[in-house]
Amino acid sequence: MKSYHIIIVLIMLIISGCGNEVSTSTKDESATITMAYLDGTWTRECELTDKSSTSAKVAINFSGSSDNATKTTTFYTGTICYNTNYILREKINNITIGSKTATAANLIITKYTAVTLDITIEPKSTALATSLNDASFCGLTSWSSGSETSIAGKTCSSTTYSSVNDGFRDLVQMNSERTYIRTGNTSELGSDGYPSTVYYNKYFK
Amino acid sequence: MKIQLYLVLIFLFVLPSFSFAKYNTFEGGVFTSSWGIGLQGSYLYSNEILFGGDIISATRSIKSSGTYVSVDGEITVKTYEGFARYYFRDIEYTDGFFGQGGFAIRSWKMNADYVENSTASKVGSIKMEWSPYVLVTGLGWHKIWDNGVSFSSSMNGVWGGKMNVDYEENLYQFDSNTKTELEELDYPLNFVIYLGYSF
Repeated sequence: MKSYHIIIVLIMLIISGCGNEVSTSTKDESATITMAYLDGTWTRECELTDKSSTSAKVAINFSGSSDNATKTTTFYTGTICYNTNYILREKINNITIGSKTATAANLIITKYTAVTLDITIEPKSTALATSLNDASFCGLTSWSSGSETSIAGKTCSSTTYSSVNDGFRDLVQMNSERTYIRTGNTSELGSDGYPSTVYYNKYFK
Repeated sequence: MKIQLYLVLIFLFVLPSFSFAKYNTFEGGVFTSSWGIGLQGSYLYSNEILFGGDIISATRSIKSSGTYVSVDGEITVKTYEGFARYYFRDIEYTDGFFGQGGFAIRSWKMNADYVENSTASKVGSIKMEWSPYVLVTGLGWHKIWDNGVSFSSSMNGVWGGKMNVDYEENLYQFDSNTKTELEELDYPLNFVIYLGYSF
């Protein structure tokens, strides 16, 4: 084999497979959430509770003009959201929307802070109100059907609720089409006090 | 793309017949390669030099369905190549060993949309596009039997190509592992197995 052949072969080997120079760009097309986008009532579908024989429906009403929100959880004695039992209302104000970030699972989310305004329970039947009074539920004996009673700062069963003016941290995820939102899973908090994961169930407007 | 096709045809058949009509041996065949299935034509100018061209085409569907997110996309690869080949006839232990170099005109694109199953909302998308003009060089082995049947295999590499990857993030941030994996799919090499007929 002539020497120039070897050189040609070597050159070809060297330049073969130099490949393609790679350039990348990443475009953020996720929704930049504002109170104006959140404004209105977002509702989750009827869901079975842990007991499975009862159900609940959750709605969040954001007010863009006054930077507040009320999360209303209506509990039913039936499995398909019929026969209202009681309503839990968690009210926050002074909502401050943070900047976009991502969870450990790479889901694009927006953190926000607020201040607890009040947390109330409204029994929807006299029988339930009587039962709560008899049990001194949350340490209270002023339960009345159709009336909201504040449980802020109280311990009810094994749950201790935030007090009025306590800080509130959550996150919200909105799809690009702005047709639904998800909120944080408050049972999984990160070291910064925000939920570290997103609750899978969606709120639709 | 029609213009590119005409250029390849001219390169394959018209130029050789006018300029290089010396050895007067043509060859045509089909091949399968890393870049797709193709047709190849060539003209043997001398015992050591061959001019050829080919057309390669491939379309692959990208579909994947997960619990929450599905991926739907397509990769289309169309390549037009012209090349010159030099046979190292004086190697004692094998005849038909060659090196080749040429150009390729590529129309390579990939699009994939990530969609949330429950809402059909767009989670993100990826677009990949390759530069159209590259040099291609390679090495291979070619054998023509007495009955005219021809076989070759070669490994070719791209020289001077570019690949652009555009990520669009709607609900999901593509992590660095996913990006690295994708960016390694730049198809820099083309392994070709060819079967043809010499006439």
